[in-house]
Amino acid sequence: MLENIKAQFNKPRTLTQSKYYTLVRRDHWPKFYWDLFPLAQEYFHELNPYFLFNLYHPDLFKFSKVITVRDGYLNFASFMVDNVKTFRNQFPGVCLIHPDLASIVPPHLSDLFGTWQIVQKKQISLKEAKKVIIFGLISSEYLGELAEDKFLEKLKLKLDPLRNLPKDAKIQLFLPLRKEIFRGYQRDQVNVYLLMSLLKDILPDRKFEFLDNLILEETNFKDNYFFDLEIDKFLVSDNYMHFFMQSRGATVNNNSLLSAPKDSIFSFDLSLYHELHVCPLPTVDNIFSELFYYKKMMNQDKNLQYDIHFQSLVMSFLRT
Amino acid sequence: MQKIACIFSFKMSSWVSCQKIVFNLHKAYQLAPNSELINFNYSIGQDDQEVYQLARKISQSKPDVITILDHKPHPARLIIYLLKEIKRWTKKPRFIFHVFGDFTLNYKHWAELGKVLEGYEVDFIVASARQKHLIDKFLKPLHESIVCPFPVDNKEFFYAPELRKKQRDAWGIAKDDLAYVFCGRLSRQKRIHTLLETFAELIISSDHKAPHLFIYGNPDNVGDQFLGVWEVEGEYFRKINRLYKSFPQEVQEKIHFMGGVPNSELKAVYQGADWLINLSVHNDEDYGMSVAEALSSGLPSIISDWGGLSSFEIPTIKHATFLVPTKIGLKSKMINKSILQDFLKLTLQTGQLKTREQISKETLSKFSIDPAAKIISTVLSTKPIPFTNFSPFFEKVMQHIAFFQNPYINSKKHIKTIYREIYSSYVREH
Repeated sequence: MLENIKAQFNKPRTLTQSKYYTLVRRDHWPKFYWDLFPLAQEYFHELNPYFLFNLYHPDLFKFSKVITVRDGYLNFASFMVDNVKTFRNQFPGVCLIHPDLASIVPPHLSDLFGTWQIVQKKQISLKEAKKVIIFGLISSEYLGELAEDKFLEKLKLKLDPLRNLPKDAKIQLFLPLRKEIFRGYQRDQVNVYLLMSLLKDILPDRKFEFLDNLILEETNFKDNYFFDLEIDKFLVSDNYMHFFMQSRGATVNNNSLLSAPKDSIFSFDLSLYHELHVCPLPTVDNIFSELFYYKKMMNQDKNLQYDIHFQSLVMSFLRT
Repeated sequence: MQKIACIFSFKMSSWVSCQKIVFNLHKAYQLAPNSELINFNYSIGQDDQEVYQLARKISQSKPDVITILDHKPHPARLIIYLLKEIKRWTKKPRFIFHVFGDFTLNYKHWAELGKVLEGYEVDFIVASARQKHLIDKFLKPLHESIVCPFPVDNKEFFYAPELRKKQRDAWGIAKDDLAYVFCGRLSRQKRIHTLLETFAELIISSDHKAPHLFIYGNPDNVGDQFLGVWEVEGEYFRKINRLYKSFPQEVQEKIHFMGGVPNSELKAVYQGADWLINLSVHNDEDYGMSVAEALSSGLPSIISDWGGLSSFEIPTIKHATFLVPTKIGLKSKMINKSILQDFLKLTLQTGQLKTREQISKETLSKFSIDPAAKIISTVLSTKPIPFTNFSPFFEKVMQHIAFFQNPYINSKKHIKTIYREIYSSYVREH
């Protein structure tokens, strides 16, 4: 694995590199990709960060020796279940995934997988923040089913540390409205009311400033804390907003490590502020066979990500 | 008494220098005699109805002069609404546009304005002599632009030697160490890779005690799209990071990436440093606010002889400024690295300059709010000739842009004549 990674790093050829930009037919990507804005924006590093669901042609698998997988639980599970038989031949390289996806990797393919972890040595606490940017896609897939008490409670718990914000810290909200991307209905309006009511309870008498996409043109977030409301990695495991904020100096509540993990086998700087470390695949309880069994039983050909039973199955294992 | 409607965005621009430019220009207008300023917020995100209502408000205030202080959003949409409101006025207001470096990104919008502003009194104010040379190509011969440098606030940036020691202690460098700084976006067209390469060579070849380079700012992904270089987020950072990591350890120890800092922290940085270095060949480099602020603080500067940066040359004070020659090459804009290396070696020999107070005074006498206010007052007291649309050259550029997906490069990625015709203004031999 390490040889492949080093070879790829030393002679990088990746799908997001500007010189290969026009090779990819972005109109062939699934339509839901565009609904994932701004979580799924493209960015570059030598280990080829990419969504597996955007690999619409076999040649794209072979383009690089390494793919740093950005898919969330749903799409990664759906992809592995669909491609388990051909994966080894289709992709003769290394797949780096977020550790939270490890339980979905088919055991017999585990030699092809490693994990990536983010290290940010200088992080600030919420108490030190001059500005807090609260972010979330207003959809149940991102925030959890807020209409259900247990998820509302969970979000309340998540927001609780915000009570300790310094009084002079500015609070900004960047809350793009989205339909439920993989479901056939829309409940964003309910979610936005529930969320705003929670925020007002937790941060009474505080002024909120609402942000739009212009935030993506900013270059400096030093002393800023980016507070992401995502409940888990259902939609994406590598969120562009985290990369964007961390590479401009912000601290993000994404469990980035303060020092290199002990089992790090390779690392490099993603920005002036954060690093990517490659680690072996952890040993965890594997759920792949349950997912595969479902596909076999249902005799489904494709588009498992739109199957609400499959979604529920994935969530039952991974959304705690 | 002239009533002046000042149009600008009340929202902060993502380009830090532009935020300050608007703010300081406004201060210069405040000093204009016999004037009453009325401010109007024209921001990105306003929908047509809001812009229309804004146009009505401006019209109801019955201004004599309408001045556009900002660069974003482009004023075309607002002015088109506004002209509908004021078309029956007997005394038409005068329009003053402060043109930024992004004029050449917005031909389509300027073309819209060109038509509707015919017959009105219009002034185009630019920030530097080279920008004037460029913009005048788009204006008809009798309608030249006026140079008014974007002003520096002399209450913010001035010679303050008392800040020097503290800053150098913070950097952990000795009294006689030489410190070079770059402040700005880490952007391909600002040639950070060239800066790193040249500085590494200097450190390796130097007989002197090796100098330090402090780089302030965060990377962007602007690339050089006119010349076919598109970048995704992270790509330029990885380029300069790989370059940096390829240097020997002793070189890496002398190059310090400081990240982005609030503008207020730069005051001390300029006092602590011995030289500013800025090698930008950016298409939008009509001025160079960080260079103006550094020189106003008394910091000698090594700058590319490109666009507005050249306006900061101080020939009257020895070694205050070094202008590194540039040219438009076959495929890209080029910096003369060998002359740059010579300049850097010379600065090593020269050491710390004792003329910093003089540099600060000289710069502030040209680039602070007072001189800008004088220029603006002169503009306000003279009567421009009516505007008769843009020049035939402007039309030629518009046609080129309309017909070619990559208007400035050919299939071999060689730079086309049209690019040279526009941007030759930014090099010395224009």
